[in-house]
Parts: sequence; C-alpha cells; structure tokens
Amino acid sequence: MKPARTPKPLEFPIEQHKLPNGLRVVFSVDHSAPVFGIAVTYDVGSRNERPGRTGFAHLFEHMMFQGSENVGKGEHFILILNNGGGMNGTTNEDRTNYFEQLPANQLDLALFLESDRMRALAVNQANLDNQRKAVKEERRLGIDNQPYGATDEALSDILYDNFAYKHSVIGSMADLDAASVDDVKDFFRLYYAPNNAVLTLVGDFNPSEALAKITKYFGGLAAQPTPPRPDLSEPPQTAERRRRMDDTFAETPRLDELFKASPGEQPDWFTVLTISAVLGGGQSSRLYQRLVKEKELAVNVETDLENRPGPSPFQIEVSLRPGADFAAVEQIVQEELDRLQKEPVAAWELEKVRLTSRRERAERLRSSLGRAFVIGEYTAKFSDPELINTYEKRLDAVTPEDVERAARKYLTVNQRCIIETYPKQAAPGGAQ
Amino acid sequence: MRAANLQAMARRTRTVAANRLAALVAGFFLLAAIPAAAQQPGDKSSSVSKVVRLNRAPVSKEVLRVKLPKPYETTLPNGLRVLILEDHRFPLVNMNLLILGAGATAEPAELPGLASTTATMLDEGTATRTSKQIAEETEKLGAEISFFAPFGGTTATMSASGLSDNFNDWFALALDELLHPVFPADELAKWKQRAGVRLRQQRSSPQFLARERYSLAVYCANPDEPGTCLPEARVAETSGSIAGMTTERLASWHDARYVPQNGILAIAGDVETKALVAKLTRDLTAWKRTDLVDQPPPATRAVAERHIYLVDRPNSVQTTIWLGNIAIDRRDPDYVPIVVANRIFGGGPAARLFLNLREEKGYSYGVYSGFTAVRYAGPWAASGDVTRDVTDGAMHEFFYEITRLGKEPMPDAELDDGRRAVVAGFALSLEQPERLINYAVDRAIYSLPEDYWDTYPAKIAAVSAADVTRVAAKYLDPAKLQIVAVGEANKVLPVFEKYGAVKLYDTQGKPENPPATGGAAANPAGPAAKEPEVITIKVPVTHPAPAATAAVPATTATPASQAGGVRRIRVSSGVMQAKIINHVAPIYPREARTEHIQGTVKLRAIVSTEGAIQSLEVVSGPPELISAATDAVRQWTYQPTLLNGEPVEVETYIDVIFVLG
Repeated sequence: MKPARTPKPLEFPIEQHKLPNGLRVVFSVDHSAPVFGIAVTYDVGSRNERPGRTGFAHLFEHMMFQGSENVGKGEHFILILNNGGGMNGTTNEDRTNYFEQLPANQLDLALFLESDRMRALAVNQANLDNQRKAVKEERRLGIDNQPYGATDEALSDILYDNFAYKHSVIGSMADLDAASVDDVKDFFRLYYAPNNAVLTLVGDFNPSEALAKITKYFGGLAAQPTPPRPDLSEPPQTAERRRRMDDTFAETPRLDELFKASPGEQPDWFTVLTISAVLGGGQSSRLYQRLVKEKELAVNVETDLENRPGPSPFQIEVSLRPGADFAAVEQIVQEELDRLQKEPVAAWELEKVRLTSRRERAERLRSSLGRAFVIGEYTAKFSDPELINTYEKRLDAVTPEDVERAARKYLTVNQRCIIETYPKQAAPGGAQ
Repeated sequence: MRAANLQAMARRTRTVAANRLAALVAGFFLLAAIPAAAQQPGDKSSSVSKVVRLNRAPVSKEVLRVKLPKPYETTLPNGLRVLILEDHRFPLVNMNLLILGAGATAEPAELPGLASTTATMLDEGTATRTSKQIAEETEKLGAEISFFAPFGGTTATMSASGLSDNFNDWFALALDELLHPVFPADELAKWKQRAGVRLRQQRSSPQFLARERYSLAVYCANPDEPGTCLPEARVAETSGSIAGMTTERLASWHDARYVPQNGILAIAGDVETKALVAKLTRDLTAWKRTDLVDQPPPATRAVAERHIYLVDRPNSVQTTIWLGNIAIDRRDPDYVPIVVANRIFGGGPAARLFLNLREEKGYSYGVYSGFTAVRYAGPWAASGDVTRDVTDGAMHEFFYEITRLGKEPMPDAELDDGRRAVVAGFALSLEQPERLINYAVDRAIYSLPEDYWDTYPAKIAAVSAADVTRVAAKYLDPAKLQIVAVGEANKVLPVFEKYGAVKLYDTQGKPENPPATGGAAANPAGPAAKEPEVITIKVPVTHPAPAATAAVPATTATPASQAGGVRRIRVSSGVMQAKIINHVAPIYPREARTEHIQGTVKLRAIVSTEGAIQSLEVVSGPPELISAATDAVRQWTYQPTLLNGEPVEVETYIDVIFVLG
C-alpha cells in the first residue's frame, strides 16, 4: 500500500574510501553549517568476549579516555569542550564508538586525538587497576542501586542461549579481576586496529583535504590480523520462559516481555519494527490505549526493537500500577499479539508508523553528529553506509500481510520470555 | 504526552551507560578516579588536578565568527508576537508557543499544580475530539504536540514538531487543543490516578527530595511556615490539590490565562514566511485578545544567613548535596560574568568542581554548578551526589572551591578557556533551527535589545578575573550558603553539623528528631531500649488484632489504612511496648478501688508518625476505669516506626489491666 503522501525521501551523499591498512573511511559532506561530526566505530562489542573474559569491550570505553602517547589523562575531553565541541562514547553488544562534534576549523584536533589513541593507548597496570575500580563503582551505583537494574541485566540472560548476546555488557567482576595487563593489551591490539574500524566524517569539510589528513594521521598504523567473526546464531526457542524478580528500589511492578526478531535491516526486521510501533508507539498505540487508558492497569507502556547483526531483541515493557494484576496485563498483551496474527493492521496505523519514523529520523539526522553516529553504525555492523538512504523505502514496503506473517513467525507464546518484577516489600526488619 | 519513538537506534540501546547512569554521558564521564582517603576538615585541598595536559594536540586558536541568523518578527492584531525562521534543509517544522502568566508562579497558593495540570490536560479532549482521537490523528500525521507548565515556571508552553508537508493538518490540531479544550471529567479522573502514583514515586527520589527542600530553603521566609513561601517554592502537587482539580477550575484557568497578548509563537523550519504569516493571521483571529496583563512573578531575595537542612533517607548509599543562594534574574548586568564564572566553576566536566571532586578525589560521578536566571532571581548552586562515606571530604572540597572562587583571582589560562568555551559553541547551534530561534525567544521574553546576541561574544570576551571574583564573592558567600542534603542521617548528620545547626526532616517533609544516640533506630525485633515500668498494668501477649504471635515482631506490612498519604500499619502490642519512650502509669480511681472494681480496659490506639497517641478508642472495659486508662495512655509516646525508611502511623491495641491486691 502506498502511503498517502510521498514526499521526497531523506538522502545524504556518501563517499567511501579505504586506507591500505584497512581503515574504512566514509564521508558525507554538508556545507550548510561550519561544523563537523566525526565517529570512530570499532567492530567490537560484548558479543566478541569469550567466557572468562567478559567486560573487556566496556572496560575499553573507560580506558580510551585515560590518555595515549601524546594526549594526557583527561586531556581529550578538555580540549574538545573548551574549543566549543561536544563528545561522547558508547559500548554495546555489537560495536564501540567514540564521537565528537566541533567547529569546522578543528578537524586536525579531532583526527589527532582519535588516531593517537587508536595507535598508542596507554594500557598499563595503573590504568587497568584504576578502571577496574571505576567499573565496579559504576556497577554498584548504576545497576545495584537503581530500580530495575537487576531486571535490565536479566533481559539478555533470559532471551538468549548463545553466550555472545546472553552475557551482560558490563561483564563479570571476577573476569575483570582475573584479567592481566597482557590480556588487555592483546584485546586492544586485535580489536582496536585500523582494519577493524570505521571513520565517519560528516559536515563542513573538503573531502580530498580530509582524506589527505586522515592518511597523515592514521596511515602509519599497522593492520592487525582479522578478528574472528563471532557466531551469533540462536537455537529455536520451543517453550515459554519465565522469571520473577524482587526489586529493592522499585516502587511499582514492571512486566517485560521479550522475543527474538530477525537480524537487523532485513525485511522482517522492518515488519517487527512496525509491530513495535503499532503495539507501543505513542498514546494511540494499542497497548497504551488498552492498559493505560481503558483498563488503567498501567501507568506507561514502551516497546523497543534493537538493530543488531544477530537476532535482534524486541521488548514490551509495562509499568504496572501498584496493586495491578500481572495476569490481567499479560492477558491483554497476549490478546493484542494474537490479534496481529489474525487481523490486518489498519491503514492509519501504517501511516502513523511511516510518518512518525520520517519525522524522528529527520530530527535525529539533522545534526552532523547524529549522521556520523548512524552512518558509522551501519558501516561497522552491516558493512553498508548506504543503508541510511534506503531506510524509508524499506519501511514503507511493509504490508499488512507481512505483519500477520511476522507475528506468526516470531511472536508466538512459545517464543516469549516474561520477567515479572515486584517491588520488594521490606521484611519486618526493614521497619526501623 | 509521551513521545512516540519508532526508531530503534534512537531508543536506548542496551549499553551499560544507557542503562542508568546519566545515559547520555557514557564513556569518559563514567570514569572515576580511585577514591582518595577522606580529607580532614581544615586541611588545605591539594586541588591540583590529575588531568595531565601535554599540549601536543593541534588546536586552531581561531574562534569562528558566527553570525546567528535572525528570525522574521511581527505582532498579530490580537497581540500575539510571532517569530519565524526559515530552514529548508530538512522537511521539518518546529513550533513553540509560550504564554506568559499561565505558568505555575501565577497559580493560587491553595491549588498547586493548577497550571501544569491544565497544560497536561489540553490534549485529553476538545469540543470536537476525544483524547483517543487526538492521539490517533496526531500520531497518524507523524507529529508530536505537547503542553506543559512546570513548577517554578512563569509560562505555559506548547511544543510541537512535525513534517512540513502536512503542517496545516497538525497545526489545526494544535490550535484545536489550544483554543477548545474541554477537560473531560473521566480523563481527569484517570490523570488523577496516574498523578497519585507519580507523587508516591517521587518521594523515593533523592533528587526530587533535594529540590523540594532547596526550594523551600530559598523561596520561603520561614521554610517551616508555608504561608511565608513564594510561589516559586512549589515543586509538586499535593494529594489534596490533585483531588481538588476539577473541570471547572481547569477551564476557568485556561479561559483567563491562555490569551494571545501574552503569547510568543516561534516557528522554525521548512516554512515560507509570507504565506505563513497570512495563514496565522487568518487562523488565529478566533483567539481573542483580553485585558489580562501579564504580571511579573513575585520578587525573590537572597537568604541573609547560612542554613542547613538534611532530609533523612535511610539506606541511601549516596548523599545528594546542594549549596548556594538566590543570585540574579535574566536582565541583571551580572548575567554575563556569572555565565563565565559558572562555566569555569562547575559548568561541565572541564570545570573545577568536576575535576576536583570527581577526577581527582573520586567522590562522585558528577558534580556541577548551575544558576537559574529567569524572570525572577533563582539560585546559583553547586550540587552533586556523592558516595555516602565520603560526604565529609566532599563537603570540604565544596567549601574549598566555593571559597577560592570568591577570593583567589582566576589564572589567565583558565579564564581564557572558559570564555572561549562559551563562545566557540555558537557554531554548533547553526545546525539546529530550533536552537537558533530560541535566542530570539529569549530576547522577546526578557525584553533584551535587538542586537543582544551579536554583541554577546564581545561581552563574554571582556569578562575579567576581577569580575569573576566579584560575582562569586557576592552570590556564593560561604557565610550565607543555603545547604540542603539528602542522605542517611545516621551516618552523615555529624558531617553537616560541623557547618552549623542542622534541621532534620523525613522523606515526607516533616521535621524529624535526630537519631537516638548510638545511631540505631528502634528495632522491633530486638530488645527494648528500656523496660517500661509496669506496676498495675499488664499488656497481654495476644489480642484480637491481626498481628501474629509475640515471638515474631509482627509488623504487618499491609497498610491498615492510608490516611492522607501516610501509611498505617498494624503492630502487635508486644512490639509497641518495646518502643515506649514515655510511659505514664494510670491512677487507680478511688471509687473503683473502694468498690473492688477490677478489670481490663481495651483501647484501640493510633500512634502518629512522630510516636504520639493520635487517637484512642475504647473497645471495652468497666466504665469506672475507662477515664483512668485513657488519661494515662493518652500521654504515652513511642519511638517512631519506620517502614522502608518512611515513618508510618501505627494501629495497635492496648489492654490496661486494673488488678487489686
């Protein structure tokens, strides 16, 4: 079905290069504002870790700001921030990225900083010890001391069998404690190599000048052996999985339902994305209307589909009202999932998905930093920066028949994983 | 209204960072140095940052000269000010409408939340559309329209964004919500349920508790007397005010306050100015001008002497700390120097507070300062959440940094970095038309001159070290700091007492007694603090109330009732006996003794959160003995009972046994 309006799709110029040492370079020029965004995306995430050596990918996110041969500890962010820029870095299961945005006259600064730490990060015992402590602090304050922290960790554990996606990004403290400096240096050498990285530059720059600079700063780095490709396959799930959690900090109960969808960027993935929006996107969504407005069993509903090279997690999260009954909520969720298998989605629902996506993407991609981030992701995870330009077409192609078929294929009762999180009522000793 | 969000990548990815800690500041900002040993008070801080600057990176010293594009400005016949900024790079339009005088600072004192509730309810039904229809129509267009009027604000705001090719459709929707809301009773009832849950949830948030207490500290002549508080002090509804919201009240607030002569409409994006002005003139004729003149919010004043407030939140592993005082409003000439001073002091991760308390000492994940300069003077304050056991060291460093900012002249390099950081960032805003138009909105709200932003970089560059010292000494005077902390009072009260007399509160906002010496609060499972003298009174072990046997400190967790938001639990008499602080022996009435009247007076008591007898009800007993029993028991006091760290009322039974012989 064609959408009611077909405005001009969002499209961005893409130019690709590769240095002799394997560094992939992607340019997208835009002279409309005197700024640029740069993202260096490493093809390594927690999925690359093996049992006994978890938490390394995330540990590296910390270590990358500890300084390198020509950049002092903490100097990176001071230079960016004091020169009018912004910066950040993130780790997830599939990749690790570091990015900056700066006024257009600071390209050398960005390239110097990124190349220096790719080449000569200061990996030594002191920094390792430092950051181990930091990660423990982070875990303690961010997960152990937060409502639903334990639940969020349990999501991947219940959904996946393959170790790659099953274990948590922050990893095990025992593994990190057992890690030696040599282990960490090996990890760095293998994964933080030019042949395992994508440099994405978006904004106000001259491509041939930029390529010359990139060659100057990065060309001298030696390629490393190609890292092993992780196996991300999952055995079929044949029976429902359930777990109950009792949470010290939560005030209200929470229901999480998870399913494994297809890997990202495939036609089925866009179909499940459509389903995600129909079920939980905005106040007009089916679950919001039924659970929050009609039955008042919940105060909020969110749905989420991630975009991974392996089977991507689809999640339904319901914040229940205190005292609301889990069984009643689960029944309504199941009714809506059943409906998707039998009844075509309405035309207005498809329209909503397409136009909301269009607006949200436009807002996200309006900044050069947003584009650098996203293009870097596409290249590292799926080897194709042009995916940014075909997204809309692929989403618009989803039909009601596709939705019914995908619901029957991916969202059956036997494939669901359910976690019920209850606020822990304090034991009598809790009354002081 | 919640944002619809279909974009998988724009959603939280399951990164550790996104999981909880300040989700957008992954990476470096998650670093913590090894916590140093806590410093002793009186030590000089060695605040030489562990940040190492090798200065080998190539930095261009040139700050790009940036000319911020100015929007088209006009005023419609009904008095509405309109700003339009064209940007055709993306098929988007952002639209913000600010209505001065419709914000929380104008609402009546007895109905806190009237402004924000009215705003929130605008999209829950109009004369021609139900809540569900509004949601479906808006989202089918791919647009997002929301209204809000946060506490402490002087305006109500409509914020809308959508695609440019169906702009007319979602503009019409927004206009319908703005002009013809009906505040349906059934939707209002649902909102009340959700709001009640939110009120509860808020009280477990240390950040909310700090904000609440801080607002009282700086906006009330006497924080313990609500009648002395300015409207700026309010941070949330009360359960009473939620109950008091009616369709009529919301509608009359809307009728009176949502008026065009007090409005500023800013539209940025893929629009064509001339056609848009014509459309607005046409479509907004229905919005009639009234006589309402926007009044400025009540003036605030700095507090004349230091006060310290601690909110006791048991089991807190962090202490949330705020230190500061009322500073300036937006039009004050000290605005520009404070922008620079604040940036260097605590305006980000390159600032002194962060480098000291986090980078060097490892006390916290983030320590910052900020100031509120709006149509009233708000506070300039340093704040952060520090690990509980280093509260002492953190307070020391806060005081060290605040003191030296106002005393020691700032080194040139540091001042230079700070000024450059402020100005160099303008280039990045050129990509975002929504940010650009906000510069013009600021000019309109605060009546700033037309060339304000053109001359701003030069003003920033002219800020001197003396200016910084002067504003710091004036507004962040250590002797006049208002200090608010939220944390485990058992552990951290002594820290704050070093800085002055501390007023202690519980998480419900009620004054609290300091923890009993020895630190531990009453433990119903453990031995009694002292044996109550029981002469003629025997308290039986079991009784009709649903508590379990006396061997178990049977505090039933299920609330017996919830009066006014305070929880109430049933506790066995045996347990309560162990918590008695003040026991008054009843006096055997002479007539009853003469007539050999013996027996048991059964009383049902409600013990208040402070441990006093709130009410007594006679269940049974010889009439001749009842007064003697109630006269005595009425005076009993108990140690307060806490459940999950929150004080609760207790329902319990007391048997007063009169035995002769």
